Amino acid sequence: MLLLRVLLLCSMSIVINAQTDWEYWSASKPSYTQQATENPAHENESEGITDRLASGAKSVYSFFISDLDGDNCPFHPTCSEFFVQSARQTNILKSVLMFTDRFTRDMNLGKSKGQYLLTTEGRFLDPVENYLMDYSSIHHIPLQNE
Amino acid sequence: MKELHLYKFLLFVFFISFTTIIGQDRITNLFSQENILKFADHLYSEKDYLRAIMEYRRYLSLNQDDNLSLRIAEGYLRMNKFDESGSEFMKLFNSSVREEAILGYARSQFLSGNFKPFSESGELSGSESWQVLKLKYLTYLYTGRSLPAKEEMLEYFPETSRSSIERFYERKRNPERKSELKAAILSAIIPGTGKIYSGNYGDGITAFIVTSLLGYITYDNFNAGNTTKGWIFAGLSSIFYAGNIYGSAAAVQIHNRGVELRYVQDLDYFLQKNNYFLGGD
Repeated sequence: MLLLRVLLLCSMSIVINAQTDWEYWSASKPSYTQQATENPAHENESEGITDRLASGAKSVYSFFISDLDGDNCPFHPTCSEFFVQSARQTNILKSVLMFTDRFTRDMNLGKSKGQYLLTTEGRFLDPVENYLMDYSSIHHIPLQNE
Repeated sequence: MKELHLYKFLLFVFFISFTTIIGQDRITNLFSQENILKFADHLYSEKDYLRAIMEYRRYLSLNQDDNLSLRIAEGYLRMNKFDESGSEFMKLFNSSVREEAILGYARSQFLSGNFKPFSESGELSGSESWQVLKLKYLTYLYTGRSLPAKEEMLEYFPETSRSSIERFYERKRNPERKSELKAAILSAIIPGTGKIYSGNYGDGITAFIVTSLLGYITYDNFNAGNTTKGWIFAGLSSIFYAGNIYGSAAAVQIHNRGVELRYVQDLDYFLQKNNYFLGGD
């Protein structure tokens, strides 16, 4: 009985220490260094004029539209977030054009799944990268032939 | 009673020693070259390519066998380790299995998406192997190189698949791309038409209604003498008008990217389904 228990214990330890089957077995080299993370407190210090304008415009948009409309934007990212992200990635003029285009598309009552991918929350995935006029940055589009 | 225990103990010791000796004998045999090879073949047939390669290497450290070296390269290929596979196949270019090695190398490079060896100055440009040429012609469907004559290409493929290959050939030659400039100009003339041109009918109609409405409000305010309001709406209309032109060009770009990605997706699926026309599993 004792022998059986010892054997069982040994086999359990083998299972616990089992390694992957698709690469050579070797000792792992864990890294104990901590990754540096961005400190949000310092983020604002390096904000440029574009970021400040975008944040201001977002506040105005939130006050006049988002707060009244509620959490109803069908897109991800939301229209205000889209504007802030586009301002960060481009310039204020281009971001305004991108935002007005997005806002117009938001007003389209006939938006369909064929036009956008859906997120797990059921929102239309419409990332800023698709509208930067950079061909190689476009990845999130529905590919199924209708 | 004590003697009985002693006998039992001695019997146990004898049994253990006997089994150990037998086992030792078998272990010695297990590491014979013949058994290493058998074990390697067994691992390979079980699709445990990684350990099969280790055993083949163990065997090859004492023997020379080009067919086993080819198996190692093939094993890497089956694990989708294209770099290792490619270099192993290349080592066999001057061996007795040259033809198989060249085809294997071509397969590894094709599957990894590295089409350079198939180009004019590539390592495979001189190969006259039917299978390599078949892969070479398939690379034309992926790369931006100018397409060869359709008939010349189609003769390498079975008749049952020629119509499908022909369709991909046509899709590659005449992709359903649209002009970003044309979309922008259309939207500049009549707001929303650029979007309609890109295939986004709902967006186009919405853009037309929004821009027209803002334009009308601007006109109405100026007409009524409300110049301040008029200028505010004039600014808004201009922004939406310009945004629509930008959005139309962007929509066409998304459409074109979709055409490209859809083509590659369909071609990948078709070739995988037909095992790249190389036969076997």
